[in-house]
Amino acid sequence: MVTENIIIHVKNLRKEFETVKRGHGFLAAVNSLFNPKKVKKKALKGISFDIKEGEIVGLLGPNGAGKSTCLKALSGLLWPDSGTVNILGYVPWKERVKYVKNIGVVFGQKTTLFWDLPAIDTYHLNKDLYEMDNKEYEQQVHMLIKKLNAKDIVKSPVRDLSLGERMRCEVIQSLLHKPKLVFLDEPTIGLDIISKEKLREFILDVNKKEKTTFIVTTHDMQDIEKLCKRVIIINHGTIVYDGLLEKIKKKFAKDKHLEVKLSEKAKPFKFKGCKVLNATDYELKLELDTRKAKVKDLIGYLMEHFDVADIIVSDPPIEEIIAEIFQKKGTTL
Amino acid sequence: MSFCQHKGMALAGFKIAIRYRWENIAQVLTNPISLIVYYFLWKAIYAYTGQEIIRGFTFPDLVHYYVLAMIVGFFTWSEVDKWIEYDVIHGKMTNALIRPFGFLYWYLSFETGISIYNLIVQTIPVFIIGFIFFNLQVQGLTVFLGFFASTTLAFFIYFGLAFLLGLAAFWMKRITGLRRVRRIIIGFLGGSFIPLTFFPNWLQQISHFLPFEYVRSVPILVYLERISIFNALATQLIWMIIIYLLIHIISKKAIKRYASVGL
Repeated sequence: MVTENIIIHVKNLRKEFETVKRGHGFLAAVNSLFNPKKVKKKALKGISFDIKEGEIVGLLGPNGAGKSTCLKALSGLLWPDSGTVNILGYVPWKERVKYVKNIGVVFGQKTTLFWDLPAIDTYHLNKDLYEMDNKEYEQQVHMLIKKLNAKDIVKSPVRDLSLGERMRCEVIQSLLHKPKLVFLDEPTIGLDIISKEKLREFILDVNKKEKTTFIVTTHDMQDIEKLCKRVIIINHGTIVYDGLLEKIKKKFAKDKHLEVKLSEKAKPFKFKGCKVLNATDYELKLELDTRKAKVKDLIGYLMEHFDVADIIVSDPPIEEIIAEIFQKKGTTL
Repeated sequence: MSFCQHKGMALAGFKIAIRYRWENIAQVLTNPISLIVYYFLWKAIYAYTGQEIIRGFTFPDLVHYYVLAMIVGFFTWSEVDKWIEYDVIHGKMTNALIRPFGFLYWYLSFETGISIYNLIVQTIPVFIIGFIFFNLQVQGLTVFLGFFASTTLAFFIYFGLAFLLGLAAFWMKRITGLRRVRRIIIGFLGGSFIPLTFFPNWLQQISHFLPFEYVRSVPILVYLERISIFNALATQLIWMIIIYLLIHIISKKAIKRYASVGL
């Protein structure tokens, strides 16, 4: 086993939250004042995984699955109840000050820049806080600003920026001190398609050149497909899948999608394992269960019965695959 | 913790204070109103009683007391409890915790920057007004340095008290009511409403064993040469150590409770 380049080691991480539950209405509110009903919510039920240096790992899960809690514990913001975490030789929450010097974070939903100051001022502050020397800082900040095309936006107060502009500033901040590990929580939120694409390319570039490790959570499956080879899927506080993205695709892509263009009007037909998703006069969208029939048989059948102009065969989109995994409660894959 | 880190944080505080300069200017313009009210109120009281000295203060002494109270008040002002409350409720503590800097120093260095700004735009102008319009005596270097040291310690104690209260937000979430209580207690037992010598003896005795008079009354009395500089600074230093030890213990427990909402 090669252990020297494992930089994140998580074992049996658990965290429980206590919240006060109450019904709606006045009486319930008064009642909860005197007799609060405390409810324990298990956010993480003992998760374990290792991550190697230079990996880009996607952390997926439906809302409330525990991925944020996991990310918080990994970035040193949260004290878990039990379990061990060792990242770059540190226990994040115990040696927070030393540890966070080595990581960068982007929380898409929440800014970590000073709201009232231009981003460049926050970068300058970070230069002092991360104790970078002037030359190193100047080089890095110029390079990042140039690459993310943010020359003008870093000079206006963060509150005046659009979400997309702000996100670029956040990404610059997270990479300023050349961290070995970066957490990206919904990094492409609010970006247009072109900016998203650029940001993804940029992340891949940094990953390749600097061997920076990234952990990405996102609801945009395009991000995952473009960036991550490996995904960890969390649901109900446990890991339901940890492995290559390709592998789930194969395992779950028992269905194939067929887009058929016709030169004549479509007639109704029946074929074993084939479902019509959408049909117009000259176009059919079909889904085939490959366990019941082969693609080539369906194509043969269509060719025989219709005047086919074009057929496109594709895998179902990754969104649907992931959604299918989310719905399976705690099954092991 | 290096000096560079503190400097960077203080600079950020200074920059933000400049951003909100209009709010500050409003304060500079409105605060003298209370000074004018006190002036005429006490003028009437001295005239009515016909006494030269009330509770150890002549009328000019009392006016100087209020001018100095304003100076000390401007310089030591801190709303760190409000920031902590806000950061806890809105999950903004994340900003402090993801940076390689102690949790206390994040706020302390930031507020130092604000205080330096206040020193320039509020404290010094009021001093000048005091010298010109209210015949505030210009003290010798020793007293002046003593006053400056005492006010600086007062800043750290005031900040420490506010920070301790702010830590309560980790358990109680909303502490707006407590913050109001804090302000009133410091105004009352700190001696910014009236000098503590106007209170009954037993209350003055109790007050000596509370930290509040060391953030307002003590630096003023140092300037007016009514107490020994050495005793004042020594007692302030002891209070400062006690308060920061408490902060050290409690803030560790507080951070364990923090779970930034929504991330």
